[in-house]
Amino acid sequence: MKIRSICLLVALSFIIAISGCGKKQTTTNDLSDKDISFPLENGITLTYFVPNAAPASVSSYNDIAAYKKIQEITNITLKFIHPVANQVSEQFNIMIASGDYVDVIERPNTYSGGILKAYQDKVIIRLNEYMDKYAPNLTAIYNQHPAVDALANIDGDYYVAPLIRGGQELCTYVGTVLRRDWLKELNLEVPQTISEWETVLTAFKEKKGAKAPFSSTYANFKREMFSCAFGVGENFYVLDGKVHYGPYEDAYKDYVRTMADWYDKGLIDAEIPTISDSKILDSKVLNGEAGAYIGTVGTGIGGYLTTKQNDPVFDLVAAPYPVINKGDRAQFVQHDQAVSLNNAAISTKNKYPAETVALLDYMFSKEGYYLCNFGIEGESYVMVDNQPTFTELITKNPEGLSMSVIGMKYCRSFVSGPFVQSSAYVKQFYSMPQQREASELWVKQFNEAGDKAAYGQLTVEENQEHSKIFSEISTYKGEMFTKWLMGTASIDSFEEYREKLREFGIERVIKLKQQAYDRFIQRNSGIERFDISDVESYYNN
Amino acid sequence: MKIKGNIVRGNAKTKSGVFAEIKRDYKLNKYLVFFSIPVVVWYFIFHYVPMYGVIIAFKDYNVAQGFLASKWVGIEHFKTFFKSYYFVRILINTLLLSFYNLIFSFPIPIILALVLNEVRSKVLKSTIQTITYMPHFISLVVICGMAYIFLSKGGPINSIALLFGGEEINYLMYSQYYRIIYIALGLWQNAGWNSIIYIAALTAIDITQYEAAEIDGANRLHKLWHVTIPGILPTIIITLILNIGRFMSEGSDKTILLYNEATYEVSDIISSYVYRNGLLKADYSSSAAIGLFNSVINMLLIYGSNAFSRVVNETSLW
Repeated sequence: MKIRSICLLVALSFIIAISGCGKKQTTTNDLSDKDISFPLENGITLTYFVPNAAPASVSSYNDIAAYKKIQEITNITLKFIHPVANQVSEQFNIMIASGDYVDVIERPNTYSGGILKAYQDKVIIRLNEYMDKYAPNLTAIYNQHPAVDALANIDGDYYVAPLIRGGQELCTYVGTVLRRDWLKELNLEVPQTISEWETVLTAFKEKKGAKAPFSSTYANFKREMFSCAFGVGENFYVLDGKVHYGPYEDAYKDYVRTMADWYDKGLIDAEIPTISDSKILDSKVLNGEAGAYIGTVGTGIGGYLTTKQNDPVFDLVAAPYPVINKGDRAQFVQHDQAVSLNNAAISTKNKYPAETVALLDYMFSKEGYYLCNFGIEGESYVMVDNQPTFTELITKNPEGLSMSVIGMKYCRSFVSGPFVQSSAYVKQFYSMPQQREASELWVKQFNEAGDKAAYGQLTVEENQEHSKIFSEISTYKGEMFTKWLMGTASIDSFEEYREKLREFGIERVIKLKQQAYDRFIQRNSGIERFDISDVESYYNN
Repeated sequence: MKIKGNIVRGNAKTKSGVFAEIKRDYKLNKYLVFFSIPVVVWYFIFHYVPMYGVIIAFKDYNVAQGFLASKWVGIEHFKTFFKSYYFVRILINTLLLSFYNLIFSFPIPIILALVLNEVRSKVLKSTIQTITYMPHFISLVVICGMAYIFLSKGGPINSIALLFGGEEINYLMYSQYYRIIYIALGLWQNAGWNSIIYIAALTAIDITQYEAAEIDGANRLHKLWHVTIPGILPTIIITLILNIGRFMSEGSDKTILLYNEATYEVSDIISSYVYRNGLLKADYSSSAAIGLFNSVINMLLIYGSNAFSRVVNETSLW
């Protein structure tokens, strides 16, 4: 009897295990012609997967006042599912593997292979069929602003409600920052050229005793902050219609040589390759070990100045992106794409795709725009001269909460999301003169340098080939850069390195990117510049 | 609890047939069978059933399509891995690290146990034992964090070096120090803990053997060599075989906590490579393929060392 029952148990567990993996694919693409008006007559509930980007403010996005209001207005209940920080990709994949998708997925790019692959594998749906009828605001924005439209579709198809950044200051916000008080004390100007930088850093080291004259997190250091002076970017970019990969260019050698030289002279933090956490940088800047660093306008300038507000001398100044000869123009400036597609997508398991599209579109309506960016009128903002203005509750919080912490309790503009992010928000967020100065300087430099982004999306097949080749290239490149920087490999090996990149297939990767770019340009041949700063005009009339 | 049945081998001659034999065996040992059920079920459900997932090593596994529906690609992922630029490097790094681990981390717990065995004072003995096995309970993250602080510029080790006119070095940034640090940390953490099994084996040695040896005129060294070591040799051999079985599966945790781009050259091992390329980039199929490759090698190693040990000194795992 016992043996038989064991057998039964074994067989049973096997059946459970097998049946667990064969899951059904059900798609609900019912395209009924129903009209949707808010509030819905019969309320519905939607599950919504999104990483909580503001854990200091709210434990769930349900606690954000704007979302409460939106749910009230639409009669749609949102159930937010927040993956644990640092495990977004794991939890996303577990969700997909279980076959039990949520209704709205923010961050569809987390899907291995990207948005197009997610559509091909029937994880998310295409929105084309819903756009005209259920997304009047998005459709109107796309019609009025062809540049936005160009960046929001993938070869003519729409898959997400994107984040649209309403101004250049929302795209360009990283740069080099120096201790203004040290410069003053040493009687030095803000450095503009590479040689001036060397002078300043040397002075910081010798006269101020800075242990790490220039520091940064390593990820930020490997951006175009200094390579821009040598005419190379750190990644893919387009010059005269041709795609380039910065670390594969000749001039990259000169850039690396300079960095290695600075490192050798002790001008760059000797520990820079191990700085993976911004907290390490924070302490170096605040303790006066570092006199210059790479930072953002928000935390890198505003955050440090707030922490040091009782220090009478501590002051910061943003440096322009450097050049070789005085008077030259910087050629590469950090710039996030104005339209981010890694936003709200609708899963195939969603039973109410039309209602969901209408809900997402509501965020792009005028009311939705104010709610997402500024929160609740009369509480978190008031209209002053027809301009939404944060109240003192947000700007000078009586409990002493920082603007982004208290702000996120009311609206979502402090982090990305599916709406038009307002430039008026960010102008108020950059409350200090040093911040405004930095933002204006870097935006101006970006406009002078021009947009060199390698636009265009790879197809599913191209993307597979690309990621296979490029993962080896980026590991190799990262390692060689570190070796050169630390002097453990001679820069003379640069030609061998380029040969190795060719062996890995860099030419092929560049060609794939070129194809995608060409397709993009061909499709959008009528558009001069992909500048979308005027997108907010949609709300101003 | 009293177990009535004895472990008796069924005799096929009295009643023929395999089933009859099983039945008799069951009758005799039914309580043992009963006791083993939970373990067998646990192993089956959690260790054998999931093995069907290994098929993703031969497929282009895609989380949305699931195990069965994903496209079959055969040995494509193995080919890609073997052809990869990093294959030779991570293989050598894994082997070297495991080899150093074996030659350093294996004998030291034995020596520690033997030394402790010779300590007469009970208080001293238990104090040393407690101190040496305590680090085992500290989380790996904390240990690696401590290593960072101790080895960085301005840390205690560099301060001492400066005191004697040396230079400050961030040891974790130079590949020549990496393996030493890795092995030393492992030793510091686990030597005491690993010695427990030998200390236990030592207590099992019959005291009369020592008395006999003393009567024969053996001194302490003789006793150590002729009584103690042979007494714990089976334990040593079994632990050695088990260690060899884990030869290729050097864990990724410690590596990921300790390495950086400056030391990838010597620090990147199979498991950290799998972590970076498989888990972080959600390329589950290729990581399953590499994991399978790893397991096959480990199985061959454990079989080989077991067979070798059986031939050479008649001690073996099975």
